[in-house]
Amino acid sequence: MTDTSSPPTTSLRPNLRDVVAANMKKRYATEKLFRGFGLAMVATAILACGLLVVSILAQSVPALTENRLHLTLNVSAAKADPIGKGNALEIREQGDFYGMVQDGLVERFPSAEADGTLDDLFDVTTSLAAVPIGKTIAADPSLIGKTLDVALPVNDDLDLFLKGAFGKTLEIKGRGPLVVALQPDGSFALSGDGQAFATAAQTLRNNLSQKAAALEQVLVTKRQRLGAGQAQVKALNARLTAAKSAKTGVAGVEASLEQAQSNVDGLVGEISVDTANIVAFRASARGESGPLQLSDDKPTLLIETKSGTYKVQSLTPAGATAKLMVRPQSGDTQSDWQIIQIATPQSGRAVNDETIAYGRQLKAQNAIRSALNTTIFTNSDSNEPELSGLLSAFIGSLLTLAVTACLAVPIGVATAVYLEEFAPKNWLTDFIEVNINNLAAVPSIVFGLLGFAVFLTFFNMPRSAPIVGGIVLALMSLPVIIIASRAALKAVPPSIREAALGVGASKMQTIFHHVLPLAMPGIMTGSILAMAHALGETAPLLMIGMVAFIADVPTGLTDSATVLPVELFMWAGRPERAWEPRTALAIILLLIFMIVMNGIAIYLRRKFERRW
Amino acid sequence: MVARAGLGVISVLMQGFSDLPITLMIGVLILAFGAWTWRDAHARAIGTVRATGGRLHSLPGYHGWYQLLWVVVPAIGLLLVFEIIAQGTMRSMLLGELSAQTRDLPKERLDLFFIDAQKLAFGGTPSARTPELLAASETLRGIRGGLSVAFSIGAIILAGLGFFLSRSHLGRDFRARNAVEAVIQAFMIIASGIAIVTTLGIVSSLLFETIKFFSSYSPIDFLFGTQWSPQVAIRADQVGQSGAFGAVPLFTGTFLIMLIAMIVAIPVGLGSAIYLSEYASSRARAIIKPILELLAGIPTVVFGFFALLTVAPIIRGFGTVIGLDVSAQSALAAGLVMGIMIIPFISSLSDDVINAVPQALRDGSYAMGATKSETIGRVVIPAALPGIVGSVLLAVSKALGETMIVTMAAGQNANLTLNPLDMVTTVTVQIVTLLTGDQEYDSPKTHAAFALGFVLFFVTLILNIIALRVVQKYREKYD
Repeated sequence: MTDTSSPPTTSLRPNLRDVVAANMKKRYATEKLFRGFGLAMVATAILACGLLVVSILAQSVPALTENRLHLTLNVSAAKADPIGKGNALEIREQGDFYGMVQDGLVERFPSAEADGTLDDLFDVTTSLAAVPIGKTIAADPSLIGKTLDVALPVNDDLDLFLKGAFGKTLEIKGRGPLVVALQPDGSFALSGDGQAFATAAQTLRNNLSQKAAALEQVLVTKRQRLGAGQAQVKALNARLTAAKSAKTGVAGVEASLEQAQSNVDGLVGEISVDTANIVAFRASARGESGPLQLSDDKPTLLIETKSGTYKVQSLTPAGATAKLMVRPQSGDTQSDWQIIQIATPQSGRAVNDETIAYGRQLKAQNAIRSALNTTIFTNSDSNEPELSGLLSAFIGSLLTLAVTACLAVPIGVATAVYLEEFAPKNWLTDFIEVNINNLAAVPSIVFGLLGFAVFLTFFNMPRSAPIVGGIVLALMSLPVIIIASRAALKAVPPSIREAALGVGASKMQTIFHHVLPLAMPGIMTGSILAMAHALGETAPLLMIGMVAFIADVPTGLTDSATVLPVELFMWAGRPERAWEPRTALAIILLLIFMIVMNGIAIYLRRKFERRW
Repeated sequence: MVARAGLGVISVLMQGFSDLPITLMIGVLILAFGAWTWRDAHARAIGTVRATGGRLHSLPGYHGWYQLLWVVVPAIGLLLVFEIIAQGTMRSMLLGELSAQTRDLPKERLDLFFIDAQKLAFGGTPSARTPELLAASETLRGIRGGLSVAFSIGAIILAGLGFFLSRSHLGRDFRARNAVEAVIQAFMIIASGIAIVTTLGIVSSLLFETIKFFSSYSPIDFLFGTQWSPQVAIRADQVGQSGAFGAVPLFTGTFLIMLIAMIVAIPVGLGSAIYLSEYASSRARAIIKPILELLAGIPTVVFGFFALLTVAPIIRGFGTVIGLDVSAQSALAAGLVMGIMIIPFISSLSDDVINAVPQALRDGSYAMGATKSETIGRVVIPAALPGIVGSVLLAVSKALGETMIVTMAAGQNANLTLNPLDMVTTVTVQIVTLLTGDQEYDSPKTHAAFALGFVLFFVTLILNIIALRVVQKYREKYD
């Protein structure tokens, strides 16, 4: 009989399947989350790598090309060889080659001297740029009395300007013939066809109100900082009274109070200047005070005709008062003219309006031309960014690396062979092993300290010399090479050794004729990677004085030298803007070297790798 | 005709090589002579057997090597000794010839004088051209000429002696192979000793200079002082320039940057290692691993540039937007970039240890119905934990010793702060600052740099020893 009223047969234990099923969704969600986390971390790593590479590539772009000034110089005996003996050394040391360049520039702009803009014209290039001319003439004194075509890198700031690094340069085509009238005060009244200057005036007003708005933004944060600073001063004052009554630490609190107070004072000053600027910008932008007055802290407007340049001082939609920058040559029709607006004010850049005017005119005359930057390969370090190059650092790196390779590879391989194949197992060899493993993880700067104390101070070896740098880097890369070589030797199967020993080879012959050749690809890979690392190493070389201004190419192992990574460390620390792209370009060259070295290592590994 | 042409070639060669130091020429000649003696001994060994019959004990090549070693090693060794001592000898000999006035110049001026004289004598651009310098350069040229001729003659005599001596040994039954192998073995043993010598050199130089430092500055003040301003008074009466070497701000700065770096590097490095070894397809691995390796190969000075000119301005701009005052060189920028630098280090080390966990452990977990993430979290990671800890410790040691990023991006101000937006300085930055520039070798600043170096070496050494021990123990467990 079936008892329908009996309760259903449920066990006391909850159904395991149900529990698992209930949890399943959550567990899968966790699984997904975990996987997503891993993927996100990989993406972060790749993104960081990408950001690094892309930012350096982007920064290097301005340094890929350089603007060069092309001039035809008259090599007069009076300037080139004032002593007149045709002696190469005297020509190089006494000749006035920058003078020739200056003459060449004046020839193009004969009125510069009368207009008082000679210095600005000469700023187009630097005197150091003329040094190679001296070398050319000294090498071939028969050039004296003839003409010589030269190409000189232009001043770094003008170069950056011509590449568009100081904001966008706006060009507005002029309408109608430009009418120029000399005013009694020496300035010029310019007018074109009707409201010829309306567009320029409008963009200028827009620019000014944008500036005012941006300044207001800054002002907000500055006010916040001021509030915080004042609170800090208050707190410090309280602490000072407390410290005074306790009579401890008064000096420390006083110092921080002084610091905080000077911060506050500085901020107050900045805020008042900014407020005044905002008012002034707004007023100019609205055009309340009649014509728009331009000054050094406002964008520059230049009026360019075919061969002349004027700088606008005040502006109305219908006309402008302007100062002469480059006097137009006679016969200039003035029918073809344009308005140039440079957004960065003169006070915000290192190159002034006059030099820009000359630079633009020279460019229009095709005397300044842009070309691939080869200076960075052919020149050594210089104080002028446009004349600096990596040649001496490259040779220095080569010499240093040669010393490192000659020392570290043979010694490292010999050590690895001895420890792996010959050494008896005792406390001494154990100690050497532990030692090598620890040395591999010692910070590189400690090797620099070793170099400073032992090689410079104790052995009195020359500072900044590739030989010292090479030895220090060799000591640093030794453990890496030893570890890689031991791994490669270990991978050679014992049967090879037994076979060689079996046919009567000595232990030494077995290893040098059979084991070592088979381990060679692994050893070479490890050594090349260690050398690539040594090529990029900077810190220990700073310690032994390789951070020096080296303008000469080193010719020997004891000459003063620097290496690529140290050179770019120095460049990165210099203040002029033009160093930044050059440093980025130097980094790219260094990275190319390292990628090539790593590529060779990977190729060797792939080509000769053998699985036993 | 031919003779004249030959003479012409020789004279051109002589002119070309007249700039080269005579010792270099002699060295090359001796090497060439060595190569000839190899052939000579080789041929003679064969000749002996042909003439007298019987068998050689060693192959003829070993005869060649034996003779070559005798000829080349002592002679070239002598020339190397000359190169090493030349500078010092020249200096002390020149010093005897100088006027008393020049001799009593301070050491730096004398150094400069010597360098200028050297440049005048052997090429280079000297900073001055005084008559005394010109005279000194003449003397130097004379001294160097005399010395190099003397040493060259010595080297030639040694090479000749070696040649005749070894020639008298060699014979049919001479054990040339054993002799050559003994030399090679000796070279290998000496090479192995270099690792120990290096360690000894590091420890002794650090210790020596540190003791010097502590003889003038109390170790307690150094380790626990909170004021770091190493500008030592130049004049005795100078105000506010007394050197203070309290290193606590440097330690906190180093620690802060290391902490930021680890906060970036541990999750990213470990996460990528887990993803790559457990989830990624072999194709994805083949693409991603080289990218991480590329990151590992980038020189640290490049990271420094990146931190200084890309990351720091971004952080600063971001701070300005949200109303925070970020200094141009902040601990955050340096720490973040250092973290990026360490990612591949942690990921490759952890990848190794995760791959070393036996597959059987994973299979067991899967058999129990665990998901992949549960297997990783409860089985793989605990099993690999010692190895992971070891790799993190190694990464910490690397972060503490990293120099270029912090030198470029962290700044010089020894602020005692834990605010990552402030400028801090680290032990390595201060070592660089104290030892670059025109430093005297024997000043408290130099010694302070070595004391800092000693602390750095000590701490990283302990971290390394622990880490290597842990990793080794772990490896043994699954081998």
